[in-house]
Amino acid sequence: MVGCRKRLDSFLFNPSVLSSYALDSYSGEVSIPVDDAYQVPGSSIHRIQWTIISEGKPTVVHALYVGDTNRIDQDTVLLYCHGNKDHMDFYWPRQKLYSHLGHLGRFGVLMFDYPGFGMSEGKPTEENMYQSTEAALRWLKSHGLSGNRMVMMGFSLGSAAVCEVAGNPSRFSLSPHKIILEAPFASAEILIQDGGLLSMPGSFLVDLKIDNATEIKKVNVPMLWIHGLDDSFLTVASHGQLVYDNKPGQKQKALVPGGAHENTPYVMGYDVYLARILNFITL
Amino acid sequence: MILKSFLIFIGILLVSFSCAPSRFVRPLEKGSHAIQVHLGGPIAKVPGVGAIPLPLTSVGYGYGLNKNLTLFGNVHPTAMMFGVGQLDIGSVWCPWRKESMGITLQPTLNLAMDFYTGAKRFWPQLDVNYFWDYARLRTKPSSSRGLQKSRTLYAGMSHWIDPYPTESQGRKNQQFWIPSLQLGHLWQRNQWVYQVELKALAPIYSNENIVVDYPSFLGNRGAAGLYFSVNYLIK
Repeated sequence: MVGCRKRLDSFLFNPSVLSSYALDSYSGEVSIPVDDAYQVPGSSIHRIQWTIISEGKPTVVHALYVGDTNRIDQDTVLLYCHGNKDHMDFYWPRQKLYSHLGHLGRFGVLMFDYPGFGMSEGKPTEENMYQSTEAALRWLKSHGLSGNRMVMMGFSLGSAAVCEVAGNPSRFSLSPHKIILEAPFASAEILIQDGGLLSMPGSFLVDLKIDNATEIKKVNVPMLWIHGLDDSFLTVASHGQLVYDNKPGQKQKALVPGGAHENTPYVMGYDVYLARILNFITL
Repeated sequence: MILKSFLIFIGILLVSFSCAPSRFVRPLEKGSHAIQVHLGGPIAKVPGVGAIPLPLTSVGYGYGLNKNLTLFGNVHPTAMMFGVGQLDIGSVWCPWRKESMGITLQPTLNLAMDFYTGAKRFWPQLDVNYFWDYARLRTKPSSSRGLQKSRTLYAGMSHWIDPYPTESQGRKNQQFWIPSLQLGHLWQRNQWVYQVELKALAPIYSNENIVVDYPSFLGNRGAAGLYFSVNYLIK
């Protein structure tokens, strides 16, 4: 029995495999719709890959950097940890949006696919998510980035990677200067308890140890929390508010009336959304 | 719908832990044994499929200690698939019976233990049912088998108690009492008893913002459940 372990962990990860990234040519469902005003030139798009060791095997992880890779040693970079769905093509509109923070090219934006997502090899697991995040941080550091010029942003599942890095800086190559959490979830156990009627241990259904509500207590850098008030999957009350309340030190919040889990930037208005993030990063 | 598939699955399983049909609507005859198989669950809207009763199972055994008291126990294969041993043990007591009708009380203790972590939970339960044998096609009250063919309607209320004051991160448990209403029918044909039960689960609680779409008789409160059971009686 112990050998088979459980159970529903794989359901938290909802990846799709790709043979290539289509980016603007992608015709499938995307996270948010953005128009040509947020286009980025092909010369600013850099396809990157690195190798991590997962379960003893070399595993290729794919990433996209928008910006000038020769200026990472001078630029401020946003490391974006995407949600649990599909792949980078799904989140590509978000990366384009963040590439226009302030103005196009003001910040570099790095996004990567966790193992098992898109073209990244390996299995989608909690450990592999953290390993691939560390690989992203190593790559940024190797290009001259320092923590005081790095902001980490996590959406939904990606909030776990951000909290893990910011809460345990000694275990990672870089530690962020500030963090942004959009629609974070509090913990795997609260996901379980919030979805049912009974006070049930999370371990009854999942092995996941993700616990942002606890990890955030160790985070000392400023945080911006963005959450749609109409998010019925990860509700403000059960998830985001708990993370926010547990965060010591500097923190800001932007609660968005009418915003659901995925569409908060759209509901907020892209200009307002970007301005709010820019204001947090620069002040 | 980033977390939809995960949360739907979680929600379905969580509700499945906490609902099952009435085990025995009326006590068995003294000395009788019964094997039960229960199938069904809450009705949920499954994307791409539609609204369906979820095919959850439990398997149990009952014994008629006397004509008014039956002891029973059930195991839950669905929970077992996830490394959680779940069983319920209880009794059915008939404090009042008149002619073809009666009232039964069913106190039950639901127990669950995670085989991997050792985490344990228990939830007391009390079901109250009124039953009416509206058709008795061949009655042999003095025979060893009692009713041979009958049709029975029953209605009642189920109460689950969640005795844990706090949940993860010290959050207060807001749902100590989880009531449900049930309406069902039994067809007995010799040693076989077929049961169908319709449940209004947790009608006092909102079904909004709980990640799974549960059709309910009461709109935005509770969920509907549909169950089928087969009993095999052994003398």
